[in-house]
Amino acid sequence: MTKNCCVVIYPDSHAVEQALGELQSVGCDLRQVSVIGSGCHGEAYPVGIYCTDERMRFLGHQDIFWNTIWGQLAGAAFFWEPDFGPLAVAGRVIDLMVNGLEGAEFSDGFSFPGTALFVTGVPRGSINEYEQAIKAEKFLLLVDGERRDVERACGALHGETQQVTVHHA
Amino acid sequence: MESMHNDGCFFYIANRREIPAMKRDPVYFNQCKEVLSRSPLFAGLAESLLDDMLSLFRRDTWRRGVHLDPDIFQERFFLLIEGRLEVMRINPQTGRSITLYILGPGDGIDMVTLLNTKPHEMISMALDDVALISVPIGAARDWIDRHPEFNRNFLPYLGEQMRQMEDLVSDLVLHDTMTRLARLILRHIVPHHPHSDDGIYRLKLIHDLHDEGLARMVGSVRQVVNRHLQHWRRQGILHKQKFQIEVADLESLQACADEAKHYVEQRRKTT
Repeated sequence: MTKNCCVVIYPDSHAVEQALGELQSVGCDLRQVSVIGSGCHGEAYPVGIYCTDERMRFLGHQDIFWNTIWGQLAGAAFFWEPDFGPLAVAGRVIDLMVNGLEGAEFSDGFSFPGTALFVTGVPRGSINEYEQAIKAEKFLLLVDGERRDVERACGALHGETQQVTVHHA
Repeated sequence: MESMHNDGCFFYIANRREIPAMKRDPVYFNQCKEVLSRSPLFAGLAESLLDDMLSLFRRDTWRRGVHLDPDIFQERFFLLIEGRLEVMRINPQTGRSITLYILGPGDGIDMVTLLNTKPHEMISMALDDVALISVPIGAARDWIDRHPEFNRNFLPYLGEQMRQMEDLVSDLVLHDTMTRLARLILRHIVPHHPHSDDGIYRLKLIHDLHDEGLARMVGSVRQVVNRHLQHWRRQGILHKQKFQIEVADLESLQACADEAKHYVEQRRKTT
């Protein structure tokens, strides 16, 4: 079965919020959407997670953004990886990251988020580019699912000023 | 600046200066331009024309081994930037297949979809991790309509593809497997390769194909192709260096390719 996904690199959290709004407006299922970011902005702010009212909350400069999308998307996680430092993630890509840790593919030279990207269909050549974007404190928005769903999401996100890359594997 | 009419009034709406999507990714944009400007489909075209075309496209990748649904080519037009793609037809009843083209960087995929809207039964398989750019098929047709100067490259490119099909059909009907295989290898020798001076000729696109892949290109089976390749290796006609086929004796391979021609000439002389 073919794996399909599209990945967009956004410079800031505001652009991600706009993109999520656009996806909702064309009827995309937000359960197919994931967001990966470094979770920190410079080193001036403490970063962490905490639980209140049975809900995980983000502590840091991007707290409003992560708390909002952790409520919108299917899953919330905060990791620390030696190569990346902190990693904040929302959406179903979390399962792939965690399962990938135990799979053979992780030992195949991929980083933690790289494993999840590889499993969703991103080729080796593109993974480095996405890893660099995360390290540069940019945000990855990823939509994975049936080809029609991915094309619809791509149609909503790709435009005059925003590049979207579609991956099939 | 954008203009619009509303109840007889004429407004100007100033919008922020927008950079086309591909240009937001300057490294990839330049890589695409370089690849395309070296390909027969785009060589010699004005840079502004390439810029205009690239601004419409989005990035795609297909991982090695993936088989693409033929419907995708009815919706979007793709240009290969990196990697190779095998385009084939398969008989679903018997599983037999024939390779129509091996496409490489700078090639357009399923160009006939630009000419008409009929469904096209072809299977595409990525031989490597493939990087492409794509555009909705309607936008590609519109772009060609707006830029008739592109036809100076487009029509000869289509002509070359038709010649390749003609070669394939005539090879299948007129020649035996050994001749077809020799002709296939000869057609893929890299012209003016620096190694050619040493008498070793490298191949493009098919250099690392398995016997099964070569068999699909000449309408045969792996065992038969393997037998011929081994024979040529023993004769010193071919080398296999690091899983790559090289031609060591071009004249002998040429003789194999001309065998059928000699046979016809001999028969003509005797009758």
